[in-house]
Amino acid sequence: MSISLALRTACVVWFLVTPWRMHAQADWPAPAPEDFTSARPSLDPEAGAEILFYEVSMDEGGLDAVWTHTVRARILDERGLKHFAKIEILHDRGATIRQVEARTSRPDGTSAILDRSDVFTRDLVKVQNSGLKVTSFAPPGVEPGVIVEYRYRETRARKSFYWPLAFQRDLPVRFARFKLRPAQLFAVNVSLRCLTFNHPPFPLRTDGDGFFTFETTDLPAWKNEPMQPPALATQRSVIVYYTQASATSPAMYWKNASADLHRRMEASARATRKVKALAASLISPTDSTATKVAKLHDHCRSQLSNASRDTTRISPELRKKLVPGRSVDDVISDSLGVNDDIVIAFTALARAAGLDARLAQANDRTVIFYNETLAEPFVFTKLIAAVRDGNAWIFCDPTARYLPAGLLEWKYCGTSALIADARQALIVPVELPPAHLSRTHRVGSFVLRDDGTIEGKVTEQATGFAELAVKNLLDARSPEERKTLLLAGLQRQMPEAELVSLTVENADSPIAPLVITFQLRVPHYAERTGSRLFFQPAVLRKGMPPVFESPNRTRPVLFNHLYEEKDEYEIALPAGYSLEAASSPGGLDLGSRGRFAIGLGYLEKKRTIYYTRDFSWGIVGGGVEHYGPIKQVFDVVHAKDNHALTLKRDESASEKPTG
Amino acid sequence: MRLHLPALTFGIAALRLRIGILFIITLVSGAARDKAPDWVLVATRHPVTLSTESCDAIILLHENRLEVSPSGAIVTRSRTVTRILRPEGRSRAVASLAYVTDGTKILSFQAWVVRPGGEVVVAPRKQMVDAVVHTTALELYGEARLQSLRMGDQVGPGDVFASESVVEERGIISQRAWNFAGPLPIQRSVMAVDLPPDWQVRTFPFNGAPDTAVREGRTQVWSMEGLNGIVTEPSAPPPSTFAPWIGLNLTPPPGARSIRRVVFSSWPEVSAYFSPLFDTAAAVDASIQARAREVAGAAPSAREQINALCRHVQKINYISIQLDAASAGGMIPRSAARVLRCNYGDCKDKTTLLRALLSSQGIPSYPLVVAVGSPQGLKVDWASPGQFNHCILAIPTDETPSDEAVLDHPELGRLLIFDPTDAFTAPGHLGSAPLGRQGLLLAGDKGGLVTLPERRPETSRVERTLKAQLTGEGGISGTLEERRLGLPSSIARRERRAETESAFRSRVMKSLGAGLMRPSVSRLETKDDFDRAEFRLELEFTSAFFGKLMRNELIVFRPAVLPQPGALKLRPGPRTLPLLIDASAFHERAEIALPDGWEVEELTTPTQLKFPFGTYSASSRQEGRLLVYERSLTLQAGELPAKDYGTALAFFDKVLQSDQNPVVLKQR
Repeated sequence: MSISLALRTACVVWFLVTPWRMHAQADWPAPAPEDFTSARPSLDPEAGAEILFYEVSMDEGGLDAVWTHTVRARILDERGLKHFAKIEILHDRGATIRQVEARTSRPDGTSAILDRSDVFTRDLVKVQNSGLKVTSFAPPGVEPGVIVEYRYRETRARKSFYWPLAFQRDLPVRFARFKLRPAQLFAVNVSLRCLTFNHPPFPLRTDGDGFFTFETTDLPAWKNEPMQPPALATQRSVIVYYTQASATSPAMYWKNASADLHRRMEASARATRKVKALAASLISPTDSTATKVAKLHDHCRSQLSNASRDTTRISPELRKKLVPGRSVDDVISDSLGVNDDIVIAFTALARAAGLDARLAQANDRTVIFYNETLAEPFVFTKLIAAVRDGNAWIFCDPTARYLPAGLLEWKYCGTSALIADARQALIVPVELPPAHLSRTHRVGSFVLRDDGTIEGKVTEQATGFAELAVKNLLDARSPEERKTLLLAGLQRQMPEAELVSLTVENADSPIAPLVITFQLRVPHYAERTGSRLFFQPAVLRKGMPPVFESPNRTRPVLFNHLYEEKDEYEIALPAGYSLEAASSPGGLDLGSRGRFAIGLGYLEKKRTIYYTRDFSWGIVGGGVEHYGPIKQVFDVVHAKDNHALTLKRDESASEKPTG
Repeated sequence: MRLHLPALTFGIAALRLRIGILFIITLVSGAARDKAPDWVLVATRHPVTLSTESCDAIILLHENRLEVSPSGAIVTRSRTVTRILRPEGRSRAVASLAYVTDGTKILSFQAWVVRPGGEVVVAPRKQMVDAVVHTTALELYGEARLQSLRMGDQVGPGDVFASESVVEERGIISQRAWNFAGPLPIQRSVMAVDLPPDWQVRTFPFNGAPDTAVREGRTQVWSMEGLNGIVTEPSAPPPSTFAPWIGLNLTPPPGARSIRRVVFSSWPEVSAYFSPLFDTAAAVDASIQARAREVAGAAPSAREQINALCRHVQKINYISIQLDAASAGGMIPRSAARVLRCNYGDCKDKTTLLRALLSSQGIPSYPLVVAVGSPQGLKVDWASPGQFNHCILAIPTDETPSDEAVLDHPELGRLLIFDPTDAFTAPGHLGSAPLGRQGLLLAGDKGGLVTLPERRPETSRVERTLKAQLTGEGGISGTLEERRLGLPSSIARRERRAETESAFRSRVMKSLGAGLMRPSVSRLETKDDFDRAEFRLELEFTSAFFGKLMRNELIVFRPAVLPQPGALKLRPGPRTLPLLIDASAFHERAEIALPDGWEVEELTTPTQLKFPFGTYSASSRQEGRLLVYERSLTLQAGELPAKDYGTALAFFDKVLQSDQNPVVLKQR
């Protein structure tokens, strides 16, 4: 190699290596001594580790989208090791992870540096050219007392126009920062917006390098609690995004949104000749509005195959027909469509039937609650239909196969919907369905034997959301699988339960009601002493855990929906035993929150106990301060469900119990 | 006049010819695309002798053919043909190919669906999923992968799903295993080997597998017909103990240096091969010496040095990196110095680091490879390192009476066996992972199989004492002390260390809640004596809802407040496989002071059970104003034959029912 070529080669190599070395040395100062010695975090004194600092710098202003991630954390005890013993960075195949560096610093000032050969990248899963990769490394020398730092550069496959930034992690965080330099969009009417949740608003101002900065401090670890509101309602977050919506008032925004939906409806939900003919064949002119809606809704949910459902089997030939923007005529001819197709077909049919039917969009309250000042496209996302009936609206979702007209999935209830209208912003409350519309009713006829075994027949029916949940669970399963699932559920409460037989009717029928009938046998159901049997008359409640177990709560309680439960059992007692010191647990006055009533009787002639339980829960939830009273209600109900009766063996009985 | 049309005529003819050829090509290529290989059709015509009543699919052909080239490369052709019998069988229409990225080349991988009418659907390649296979949850990197082709949404009852993979690999170890049976019934299962003329194959058949091959030309074939699906039952030995399989040694010609293949004909040979590799990795350098001095330099005795260094290596993080599979990289540790610097490693890395640290203090030790989770599974006759999956250490030691984790070697003497991967078990004690009956000691020419110690009830026990006062309203308040020794202490230690204080308290409350409704705990302490393998729990509790008050006339309560550890919950029904029982012992004494004005109306029904695999006793009595309840359960480690399952079922059933026995008090 000539000297000049060698020199040139060396320059190129130096040029390529220098950014890495500068990156490595210049802006990565060692941890300060106080980082090692500061007291256990007040945010969570039990945390095994604490993130002292993290930053994600998202530079999408250049040719590529380059995100730089930096983390510094302190390991407090061995429980904290699991968070940092192994670091895995998931990324799609189009992205690359480079310049991975890690350093572990000890209190004595020494440190260990990650060797580049100890960084591994492989395809986690690959399908053709897409999939997920993982880059992983184990920071060296990780043990309690050290500070672990790592950083890396991620070059993404494509730029974003929407950045949801959640600050909280699964560990407490002392300082968190996001920096963003978005791509410049030279388009008319496109502007950048920023929404802040659970934090004072961040101003949208750039620094000298064109970055927006969002930072916050003292974040507790994010831990899920059962029945909690959506994350955006309680978690510190920022959403930055480009929007084409002009910066108008919320009122004007929603007016435009209603109008856009109206235009879409006019273009797609047309009452063509075919649509009119079908509508006429389904309804009678004398039907009420509600009846017409129900008939059309039932037709759409039962006769149109919904390709968006994962349990729908469609041939490859038919799947090719599912192009965006299909006409209602095609949907009806093929009896096939995706979610939006089916909603539009229903709306067209209802309009053809002379009803004031419109497209609407529902708000998913598991993502974000509707708020009139929050004028953003992600507030109303699910396409549904609304039909005016006098002064009220009937909301319909024919894609929810097992729900009747007037009932949306629970996550779209107790909030609002946007209805198509040419002239005004039409946002209407979607009421939470009353408890009686989601009801589980169980009727059981049992025989209790002197060896403590109980056996008998149970019939269970459900409506509304209760029925929906069971049908979704069972509809695509074979009889064997259904038996396995239901038995597993029973055995979680009563490990010795046996399902002698099981019949499930209408699990996959959109219209016909679900009926589950089974023959149950539970050996050792009753506790035995030498001369007594003790048993719980609330047979199918035995072994159920309390609804709320934790004594404390950090976030409000939010039930999915209101509901009712009705149990009616008769239990024939074994010969040679009589009731002793029998009492009823009594009900509970829940006031406006609901109803809990217990009926317990004994018919001597038939030697049979009659037990009824009627529970209705009528409030959707409450703040943290309400958790204690709500928990107390459910604890008392649980205690009453566990009420036991005593049977004493008659002294005249000549034979001892069997078994 | 004739028109002169030779060119045009020729042109039309040529055009016709071209069209004809195009048509034929289309016909032929179309037919080729839609045709399944002949071997699939042959398999579907093979008579089915198995009962298919209760299965959702049946495998008509399950075949592996190895073609060994003179250079030592092995091409493996795997074929499977499955008939779907019921809709639930759709999930069986999956072709899977497990491979490692080092030293393996996938030559082809295809799948077909053949319908009863003859229509063939070829699985499109674009549907193939290639995914990582994690050997452990703490794997940082590994070379094991799985390709799969799923056609479950395109098959129905009556359809046949077939797949074939062809893979070339150049690994070092020249031993193969073939399982004839699987979860589904298999009509015909075949292993075939085609060797170059100067190669040898030796067969090691197990559990009724064929010991001799049938020759088909140059190919040797082992086959079985009509195999029922392997049943899985809880607490049963692994399939390798009862399902038919063969091990094969493929031996190259002697002196063939160009062939990079290794075959073992005895366990000492395996030891002789791997020992130098482990020795090299355990080399001592200055960093090792410094660390050993820092940790154990001040220890007054060799045993205390061993304890200190063992404890130190237990704290090294467990991270698995599996590289160089073709060179048996999964069985070769990284250097001790590197593991020390990184502060992480897998089982063989940690063992090697400990070995180096001990060696720097003049204490010898030997790697010991074992088969975790397969207590009866090792086939002694076939010397294959692939039968092992874990590495621990054997350390010569003096006599310490409390040690249970020891074995006696005829030449090396008394050896303490220690697992540095188990962070919760002190030296001298057996950890939670069942190690199997035998392990392979890597001690050069002194190496070979050794018999491993078994757990005993007296070194794996729980002792519990409860003292409480019952109120006339059914409430209770008192203290509970629990002492866990041996394995139960390791489990309690592992659980406690993984929890925050509040999570631990919640777990204790939940456990108490099984017997005491809505308990509250005013004092909760633990004392962990790691070196003595003892973990103590002490708490003070109250509950207003312990006893059920029956109209102020009776109080009914269960004196067995907490569940007892060790009692197995067995499933009723027939059993086909043996039941494995682990050794344990439990004893409890509860003293409950009776409230004034109440007398004992009924005591618990006394229970006394005695069987070779276990004993149980439970009884209550009144001593003055105290209700004293005692129960004891002792289980011996062993394998109970399937025919005795009913006895075990009745035994544990009675044990669990005995816990439900209440005491009844009546108001005076």
